[in-house]
Amino acid sequence: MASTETKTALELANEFVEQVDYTASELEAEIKEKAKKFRIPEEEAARLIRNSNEVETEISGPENESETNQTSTNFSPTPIKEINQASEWHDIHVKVIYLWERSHDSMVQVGLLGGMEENIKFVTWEDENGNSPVQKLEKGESYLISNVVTDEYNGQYSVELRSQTTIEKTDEDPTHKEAEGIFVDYQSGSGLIKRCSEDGCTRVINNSRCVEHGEIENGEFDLRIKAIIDDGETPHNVIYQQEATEEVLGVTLEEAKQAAMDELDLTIVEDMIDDRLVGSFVNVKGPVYGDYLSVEKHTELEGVDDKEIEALQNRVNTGPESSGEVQNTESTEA
Amino acid sequence: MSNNAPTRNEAVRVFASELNEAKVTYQREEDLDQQNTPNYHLLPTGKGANRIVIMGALTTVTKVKDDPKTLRSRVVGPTGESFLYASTYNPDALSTLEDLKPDDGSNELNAENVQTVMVIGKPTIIEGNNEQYVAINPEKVIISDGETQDRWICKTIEDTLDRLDAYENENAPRQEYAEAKYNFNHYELRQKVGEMTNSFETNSSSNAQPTTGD
Repeated sequence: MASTETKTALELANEFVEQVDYTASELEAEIKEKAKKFRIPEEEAARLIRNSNEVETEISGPENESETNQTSTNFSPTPIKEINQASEWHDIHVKVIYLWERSHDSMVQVGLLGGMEENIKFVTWEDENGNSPVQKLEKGESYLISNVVTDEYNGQYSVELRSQTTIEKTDEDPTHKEAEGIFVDYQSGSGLIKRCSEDGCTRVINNSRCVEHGEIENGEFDLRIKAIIDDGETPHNVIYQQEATEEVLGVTLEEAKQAAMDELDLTIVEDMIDDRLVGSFVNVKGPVYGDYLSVEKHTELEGVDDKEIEALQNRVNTGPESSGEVQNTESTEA
Repeated sequence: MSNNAPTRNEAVRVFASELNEAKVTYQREEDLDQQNTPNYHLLPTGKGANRIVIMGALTTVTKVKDDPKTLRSRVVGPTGESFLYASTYNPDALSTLEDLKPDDGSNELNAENVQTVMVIGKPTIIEGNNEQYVAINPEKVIISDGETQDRWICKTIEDTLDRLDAYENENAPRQEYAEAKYNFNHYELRQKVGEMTNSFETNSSSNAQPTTGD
């Protein structure tokens, strides 16, 4: 990065000297020393110092001081999109999207974390002894991270992992939702469909007509399923896009097109959905767009496993009997 | 599809022994301005069911009417029987049942052609001689298998227990309504569900050898 103007350490110090307990010259020295020690630009060193001072002297650590017992009970994640203040402590549930090259020696890790709807940069710095204050994060894994500190640079927010930070790995991808139940039905517009071929329009066309562009001669074929997965409480709308549809039906778009042309029947894929999916118990996971969960992982649940049966047997063999006895102790007041 | 289309109702997992008692129906006030106001059957455990899903063995398919063509089918589940009335209003289910009806003109399916089916549909009331019966207008009849039925049984046990718990804690969604309308033996249903649960065999219960920890 070619910086257009390089500020001197003193100029940098003067920018935030009121916020800290140092004098400007002490600060200037500190900036120079850190820049030298960590082989980073003075601007970066100034940022480091400013951040640590703001956070450590002004807001004095996380609210829940109990360092131990950082369990899920008091873990209350902040949605990433709600992080819009610097120097705050938060808990976050995130997935590691990228790990970037470290930009200087004192950096342990830097990368991008994904939440439900937004992403945020994270960074971990070495402590005074040159050690990492926390365990390293792995790309593609999801974590419950307690007590990160927010920072802001050019209007972009980021979080820093500190010694107060605790990290717990989780199987739950924060960017995904899950639905489990019976594939009870699918909506019209499922199967082999045609989309409008006008530039930038992907509307599904019916009888060669696009609602926006009228008569379309050569629509483009696509595969998708708009399904309803019913868990007994809620019918969830889920959508299988081309790739997911190809996978669950075991047929490629090309094969489906060919089969439909051979049979002169576009509903041939709907028959496959009826045969293979309707009436099966499934678990689906994926990101949510609007009203639809977009399926990235589809698991068919066949039969029940011992764990589920044992949990149910525990429930029926312990639950009702004891509560029944309690109910029998009627009022004995005279 | 219009925007004010009613939102789809969930398919309630319910055993025949509970569903068959759900003879009281109601409509929700907030639905009254809809063209096809949905009907709910009040389950004895105090929940309304507009749509249900059951599983069992399809044993008979009988033509009971020609115009509109109507097939009555009997499905036997773990707690009892359910009757389906499929007509041309339920084209999907009707065509499946027609396919499953024996070719030789008989109504009974035999050991060779009996099928495990999943039925998704709407409960309805059939007027008998001097009694009302709960039957099902099937939307879908799906040929299934024993493993899927095991899962359905487990899920239905779970949901039935949830409803029983809610009812016994007096916080079922339609608690007072169910208390006023039914004289139902909830304890018996709980017993039955418990027996069904314990009849499932697991690896640890089938070869129940004490494990020595070495």
